[in-house]
Parts: sequence; structure tokens; C-alpha cells
Amino acid sequence: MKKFLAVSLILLLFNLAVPTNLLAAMSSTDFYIYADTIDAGGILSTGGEYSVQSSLGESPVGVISDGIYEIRGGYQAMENGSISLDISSSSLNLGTLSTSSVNSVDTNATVSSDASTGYVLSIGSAIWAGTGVPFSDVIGGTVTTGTEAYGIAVSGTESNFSDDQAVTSSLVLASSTVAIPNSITVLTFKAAISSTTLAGSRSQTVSLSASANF
Amino acid sequence: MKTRPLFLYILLCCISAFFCLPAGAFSISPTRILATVDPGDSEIVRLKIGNDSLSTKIFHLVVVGVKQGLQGEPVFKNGIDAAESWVKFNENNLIVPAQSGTEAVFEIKIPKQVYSGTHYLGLGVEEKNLAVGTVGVSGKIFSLVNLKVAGNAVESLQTKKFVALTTVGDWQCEADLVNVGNVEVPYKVKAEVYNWRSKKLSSQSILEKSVLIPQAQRVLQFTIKSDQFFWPGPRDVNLVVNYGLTNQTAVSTLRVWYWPVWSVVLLILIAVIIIVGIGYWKLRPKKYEL
Repeated sequence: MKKFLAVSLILLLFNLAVPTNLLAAMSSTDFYIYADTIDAGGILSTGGEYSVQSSLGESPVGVISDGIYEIRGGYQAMENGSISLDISSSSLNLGTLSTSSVNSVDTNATVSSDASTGYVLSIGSAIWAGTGVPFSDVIGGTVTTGTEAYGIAVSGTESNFSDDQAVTSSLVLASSTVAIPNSITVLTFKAAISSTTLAGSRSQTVSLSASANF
Repeated sequence: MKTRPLFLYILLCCISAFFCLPAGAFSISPTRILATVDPGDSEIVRLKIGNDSLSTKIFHLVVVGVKQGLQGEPVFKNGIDAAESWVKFNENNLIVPAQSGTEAVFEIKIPKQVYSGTHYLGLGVEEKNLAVGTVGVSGKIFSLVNLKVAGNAVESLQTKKFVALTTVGDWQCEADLVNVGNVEVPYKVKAEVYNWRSKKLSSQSILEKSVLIPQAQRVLQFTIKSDQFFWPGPRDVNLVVNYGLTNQTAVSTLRVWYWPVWSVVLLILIAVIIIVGIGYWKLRPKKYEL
């Protein structure tokens, strides 16, 4: 039993150290193909003079580039670009605010775009709700302790600004001018109150928009 | 007995592959669509919506107008383009099971009396999540639709403003470009510097390749290094904009007086010498003839 556990532990450590990829590299004298793909299905659709082969569950897909070359992995990716958006946490809580601190909360927005013009991530709309008067927008680029202000900061390679900005529609949070996989932007919402801030609960619904660039 | 570790290893491989999948992304394809439609005709646009998350998601279909921000970025808003009302869809709620996709179908019907030109629309989906808490974050993704209404196309890009913000040290310049035509124009911008004899001294690319949609304005701020010039004097900065499929060129000129530090020092020195010379001449001892 001890031997079984030891072997299992070794295999587990090996598995964690070397991520599993269901790929196979192929090479010859002149060429090197990094990996092939695996498909789970797909059908051939025909309509008179034309036919099209669809794919299903294809892996790996996406764009790999090094600035000079770009590989669009996957049968469908070669034909149509796509853009995806992932928000790590959609319900954020700033907690109970006090005059002695700045409260903040984070969420990650991950965009993958294989459009050759990259992508733009912006705030589509920001709507206040709740019983309290909406907070004042941050002025001067920093949410500071003891001054009523509400704003957003962004970080990440493609982030568009480095200070705290008001959460308003059309604010560009991150952008890229080239195709990019898994571009992560950390959105940090910040709030601070002053001694004159009226009591009450506030909440805001923020809608993020992602699209390809022009 | 020895097969159990192998079985466990295979199981772990499967589990790790499972966790390599995207966490909760949703996607749209294609990212951009070009459609040319005659007035009175219609076009069906099909978008593939993917749900890469591990749970079923509900999406709402969204149609918005698109304008271009001052930095060239797309800005999505309702009520900014008449073409928004030309788009219809039947199914507003799309229920997409985990790890699968579906199709969103939009019909664009162009009214008969519409003038030719380009319209940009954002067709997409909005993830409906019942976010709770202080800040609820939801997402929308759009396909950019370049909708061309067939007819005459006018490519016209104008330089609305071209000024120097400062010429002390390096020259900080600002230019505003406006597309006053009815179609989008690809364009590139460069700045050329000429001396008083119209000899080209330098040329630098300001914008390699971009697109300006109808009625959009683009603000460009750029710097011209002044230490690349030696002699003082007037300089003409030409802003050269090549645009359109018709390959037109618009040139705007800005006059800048260039005074490098050494020339200012030399001028001051000459001025001092002249003042001292005049003073000496005025105050020199007079000779009286007997």
C-alpha cells in the first residue's frame, strides 16, 4: 500500500510540474509542426453548389504570435475571427465604508481576440441604484482617504490608464492593436467617503463592452 | 496492483485537462462583418455565440450604433445611428448550455429612401447575470458590422486643425482629422519638415495605418525632435495624410521658427558686442583739433 501511495505521489507531482497537453509534435528535416488538433465532431453541410465542413469540440484553438508570425489554431479559427470575454467575478462588494480608509475590490476581465486589429474593452454603461445618493466621481486621479470619491483603476499589459478614473460609459479600460490571446485586465473599483457623506446603501451595475478594433 | 497508480495518473491527466478549459468566457464570431446592401433590400447576419463556461448562460441580443472616439477606438451607444432601427431579431433570449454554442440571427432591412454611405453597427450579446453586491459587473461582446448602403461613395478627409502646442525644445504638435465623406477611409499620416529653401530635412511616420469612419474625428498628438536640425531659421512642418481607396493626399503646413540654444547664445553675444561697441563709440574720448 505504501508503494502504491509513493508511486501515486510521484506521478501526481510529475503531473503538476508538466501540464498535460493532448497534443503531438511532428517534425521532418524541413518542417516542425508543433501540434495537431483533436475534434469531437462536426458535420458536412451541403446546399446545391456549396458545402461546408463544421467542427465541434476542437482543441487546441486560438492565436499564437511572436510579432512576425501568427498561427491561428483550429479549423474554424482560420476562417472566422472571434472575440471572447470572461469576467472572473460579477458580484463585487466594497463592504462598509468609513472615513479612515479607501475600500477597493477587484475583478479580472480576460479578453481573447484573434481579430488582426486587436480589441477594445470599455465601459458600456454604469448605472447607480440603491437608497443613497451616488458617490462623487474621483477627481485628480486618486481616490483618497477622507474625501468622498468613487473610481476605477486598471492594471495589465494592455490597460489604458494608470490612475483612478471616474466610472463612466465609453471609458476605455484596455486595448490592443494586434490579435491577442488571454489579455487579462484587473479592474479595481475604489470608494472613499468623507464626514459629510450621507448614509445609505449604494450599488452600481457596470456593463463592460468588448469588440474588435476598427 | 501496479495498474492502480497508472489508472490514478490517467485520471489526474483527465482532471488537469478539464481545469485547463476557460473559466467562464463567452465568445462571438466573426469579429467583423462587411455587408453591402441596396436600398430596399435586406441582409441576414448570423453570429456564432459560444459559451465556454461550465454552466448554462442566458444572453440577450443587443444592437447599438458605433461611433469613433478621438483616439480611434470604437464607442458603442444607442441612438447615434439611424441604422440601429433597421436591424430586427426574433429571439431575444438565447439559452446556451455549458461548453456549447448557438447562432444569433439578425435581419438588416434597408429602407428604400436611404442615401448611400457607410454605417457602423455593433451586433452582439449581453450576458445576463443577476449580479448582487455593491458593484455588479456584466459583459457584452460585439461584432463590428460595416454596413454599406450601395450608391455613390465620397471619400473626403479634412485636417480641421494643425497647431504647435510648444516649440520650446522638441516640437509638440496636435492635429485634428475629420472624415466628412460618407464612407470610412483607411489612412496614414506622416510629418515632413522643410527648410526655407523647401528642402526636405526630415520625415517621420505619425500613424502607420488606421481607419476613420464617416463623421468621426481623430486627434493626433506627436513630437518632432528638434535636435536633429542644426541651422536656425523658419521650418515648415507638413502634415501629409494619405487616405482612401482613391489614394488622395491632404497636406497642411505649420510654420515654426527654430532657434537652437547655440544660436540664441550667439545672438545674445552679438547683441552684447554691438551694445558695448555703440557705448564705446558714444563714450570714447573726443579729440579736439587746435
